[in-house]
Amino acid sequence: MKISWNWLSRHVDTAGLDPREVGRLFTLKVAELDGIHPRGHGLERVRVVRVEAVERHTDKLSKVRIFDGEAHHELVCGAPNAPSALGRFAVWVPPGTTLPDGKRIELAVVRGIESDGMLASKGELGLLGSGPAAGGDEHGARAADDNDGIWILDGVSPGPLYSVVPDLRDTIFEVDNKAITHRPDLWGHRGVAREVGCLVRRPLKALAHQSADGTRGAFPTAEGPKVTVEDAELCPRYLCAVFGGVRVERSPLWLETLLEAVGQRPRSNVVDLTNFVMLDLGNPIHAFDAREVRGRHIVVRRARDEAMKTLDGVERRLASDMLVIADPERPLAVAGVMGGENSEIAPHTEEVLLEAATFSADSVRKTASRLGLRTDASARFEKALDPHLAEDAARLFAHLLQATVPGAHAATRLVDHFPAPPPRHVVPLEPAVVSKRLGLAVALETITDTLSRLGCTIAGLGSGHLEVEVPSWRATRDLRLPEDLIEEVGRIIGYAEIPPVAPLVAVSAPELPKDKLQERRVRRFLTLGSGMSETLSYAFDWRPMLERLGAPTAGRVLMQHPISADLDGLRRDLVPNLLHQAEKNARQTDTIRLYEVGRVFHPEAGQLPRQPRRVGVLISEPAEDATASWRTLRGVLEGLLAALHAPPARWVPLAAEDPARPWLHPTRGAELYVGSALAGVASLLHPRAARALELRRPAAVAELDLDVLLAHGEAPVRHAPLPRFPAVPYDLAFEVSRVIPTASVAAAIREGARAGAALVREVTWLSSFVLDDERRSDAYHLVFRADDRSLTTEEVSAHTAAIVAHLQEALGATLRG
Amino acid sequence: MSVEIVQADALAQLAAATSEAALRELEVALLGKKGAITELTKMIATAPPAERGPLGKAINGAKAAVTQALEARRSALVEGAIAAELADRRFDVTLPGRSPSTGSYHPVSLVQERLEDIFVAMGFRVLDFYEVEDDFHNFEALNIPKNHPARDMQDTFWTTDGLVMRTHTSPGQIRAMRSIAPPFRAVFPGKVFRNEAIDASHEHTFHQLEGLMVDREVSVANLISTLRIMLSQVMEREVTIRLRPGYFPFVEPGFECDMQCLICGGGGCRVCKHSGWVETLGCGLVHPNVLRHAGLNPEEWQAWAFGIGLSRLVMMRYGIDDIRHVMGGDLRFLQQFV
Ligand SMILES: [Zn+2]
Repeated sequence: MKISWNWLSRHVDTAGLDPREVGRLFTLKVAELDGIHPRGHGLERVRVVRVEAVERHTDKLSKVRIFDGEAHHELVCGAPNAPSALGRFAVWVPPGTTLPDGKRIELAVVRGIESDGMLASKGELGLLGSGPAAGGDEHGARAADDNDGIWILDGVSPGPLYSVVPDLRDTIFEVDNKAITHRPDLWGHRGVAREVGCLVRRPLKALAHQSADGTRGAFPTAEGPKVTVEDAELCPRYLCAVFGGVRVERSPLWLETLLEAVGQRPRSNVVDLTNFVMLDLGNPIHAFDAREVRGRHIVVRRARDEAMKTLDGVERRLASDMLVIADPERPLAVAGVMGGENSEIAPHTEEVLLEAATFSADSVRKTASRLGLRTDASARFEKALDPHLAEDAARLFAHLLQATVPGAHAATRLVDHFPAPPPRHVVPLEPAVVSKRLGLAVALETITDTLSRLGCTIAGLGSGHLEVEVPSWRATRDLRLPEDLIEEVGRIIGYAEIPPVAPLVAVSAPELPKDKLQERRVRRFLTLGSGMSETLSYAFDWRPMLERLGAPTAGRVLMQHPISADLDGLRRDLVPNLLHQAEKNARQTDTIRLYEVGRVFHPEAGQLPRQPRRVGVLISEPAEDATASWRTLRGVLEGLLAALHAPPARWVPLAAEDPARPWLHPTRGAELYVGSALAGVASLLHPRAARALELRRPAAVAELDLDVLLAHGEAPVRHAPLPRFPAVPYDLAFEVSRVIPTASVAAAIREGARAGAALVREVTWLSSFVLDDERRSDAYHLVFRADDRSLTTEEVSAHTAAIVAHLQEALGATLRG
Repeated sequence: MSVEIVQADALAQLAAATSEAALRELEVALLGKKGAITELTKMIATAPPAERGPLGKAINGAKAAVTQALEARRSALVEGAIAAELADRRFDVTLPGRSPSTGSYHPVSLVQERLEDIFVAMGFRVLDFYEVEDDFHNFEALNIPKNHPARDMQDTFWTTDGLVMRTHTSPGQIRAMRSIAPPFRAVFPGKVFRNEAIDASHEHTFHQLEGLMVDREVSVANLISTLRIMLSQVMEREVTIRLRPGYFPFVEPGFECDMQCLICGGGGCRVCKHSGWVETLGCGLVHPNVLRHAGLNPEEWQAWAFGIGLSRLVMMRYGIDDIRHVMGGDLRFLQQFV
């Protein structure tokens, strides 16, 4: 929201204050400012001139004769609206002037005509800032005024721009809207000025309609419109009156200037005044063409099954929980959100029915969001406005209309439907608690002074228990509890005054829980021990990847409104995202080693999804063959399990395709069991998946469930005594059938040692090579050792013979030379 | 063969040896079990008794001479080899190193672990909670009832089952207070989600770390002290912080905490948008309604909490200018962090 310094000055004396310093205080003590921008500066040489002649020179160019109050000049103007400036006033930039954007205007010859300076648009003068306010401008769609080109003025006389438009120089505060969602009072200049006054200890001025003689903002006694409020809960207060003698025309210059300063496009006097009142007090008001209100009867009711065209030209279907302003026949406005086209102020409007109301915050918020129609009005109503504000808004409008539109006047009394004014709101406060919570000794006088400056009334001063009556503009939602008041005192004192004090607490045992410790071990091993890079990816699947892999997209936790159709649900596994990242990396490198520690999501009916922690591993790099890829992956996982102090896993070959995880290779992958628990899966990439992706090198993937490992893993590390007797190494090579897994050969070796099994301390696979289609040769390195003696050659030979015999018998393996 | 000839031959061979290896072979050939000098001793048995004495002497003399020559030759060769190696100027130390393949840590993990360590050292425990939450924990219990405007401040991902991708780590406040007997201190890092379009400074998925201290008396002064320690530690230099009003429905009073810009030292630069301050975290005293929702009596227990954007902190610490790198998985990015 934009706040104009000049506008603030209508409410609080700003003489001698530095806007930047006030802005800094505002950020520190009230709400964040996104920026503080000067507006309308650097235009000292610019003049308002009368346009005396406009002559078409070419298709696009006009030759213009102007009078600057002292002399005549001729220049060339390319603005499409130049002809309509004839007989009116424009803004002239004399040659030799540098504009705020750095552009320098020089005497020039355009199409053979000497052009003496230029006529400027508001944009060229730097007056449009970042453009008109976005979104909320309800007349945006139908705007067509003189500003689409050079700036044209009416009812002025030639002279320096700053004399003609005295308030042009301004400073604009950009208030961060999110910082004031809880402050209904800060959505207008009045409320911001109140805070500024509190910060600099200056009083608020009276409102423009609050004259000493009571004549301003007054209404006659003539009968007003009939008002029926069917749902007082959704509309706690409704004021309205009719104004006559209205002539719809351009607003006076001061009004246009203020509106433009805060990014509002001027329309016409009536509409501009309603906007002004909203931006001034923070309470939106709405003007209807009174002739269009059938029977002069306003009905505030819930919508029926009906539709209406709002001011933005859109036909809107209304639901029964939406509040509308209607006459006996038809809806005229969506309450608190936007008016309807049927009763819009038009150039010929002579009678205006003004509405100033308070609507239920929840209802407006819901309606605006259901209609997808967030307006300046709905943004304010949904903050829960003070119902007392609506009356000020109506009276301020009455005063301003009479003061600025000759002949316009209130024609009826001000009808006020306000059945249940809210009770006074009193919050108890113990002064000692203020000091305790802030951690700063705050004197009682400081507390009472601060709260009083903010508009609170304080009783119970003698008792030690204060009774703080909250002002109506902070009472709707904002200040409810003692804690809220503590915040008020703290922020106005300034949090910089609070010294840091370390908490005094009992010493407790440091604790890094097991799951965190485990994740650190995983990362340490994979990063430092396996040369892998840790990555992070979204909790969402990349749907196109699932589709390319042929993986199911059902069975996932799905988003109601995904950020894009490609990120529509949560990942069940880590591998697809790793493959997605690997594929992107494959454009740069052929060595990819990625891992991720993260949660996956498995829906559970009627409760939170299961969200197990996993580690996913992907290796895609040059390798001699598939076996080498597999052994690299398996080596990493074995090392990882060891680093986690888990017992060695059982590797159970995958038996079939897994339709849920089509990236797994049915004959080149295995499930890992730790104890009896399934802890994960490891596999080369399925050949179909491999062909669907653009990886430059064969890929191997694995995924382990960290929670399962935590529950079943963790064997304590124990020291084993070093051997006292020498070991006897022995190498053996066998011919075996190629279908016999290596693990079975190794197991048979241990079994074959039979009686001497305890003496076989190590069975290490050395190598295998293929002999022919059927058979291969496996080489093993055995280590024999006894704990109580040195083994003799004879003993070792006997055991070896037993092993060879057993392999022959069990696997049909034969000893090679 | 005469002793003299054998000795002369041995000495000649030793003199001709040009390497330590050749010398070792020669030692075996001459002085080993079956070496030429050792063989000579066999002559003693067959010699006439009168010659045995002088023969033995001669053989011992030869043995001593050969042994001495061997040692002399060995030390000459060793010294020569050392001198040659030392004199070699062709060795090139500028060749690149050959290192074992090194991996990398994700920068979020690095900063997160650092923060965890800082807090563990201060007696905080580290907790971890779910990323998909229910409405109660993410909103309701945090004093954000249905239709509260604050729900609009956080563009929320809702699941088709009406669950929430947590919009902040704050649901952990409720879960922690409900499961741990006060007093306690805890931090809980994790992913959070906002349904907003991605650009260089916005991500729909980012990381936060939440801190919570529950005790009988806690104050804003305690909070400021803890935040200063945390930020100074993680930035590895003294930082200046300031608190200003900030609105979060689950704290009261609530603050935005700014850190004086480390790039310009507060003078104003592009990074701090010329303000001298960088918005760093949100914090405050836990709202009594939140304490109540978490099963604690606000008359008895107080708490403060903060939530810091880890992704932002990572970007500040490492000078990363585009948040999309954080979740992008580009190895050229990831491999910069070890
Ligand atoms: Zn800076």
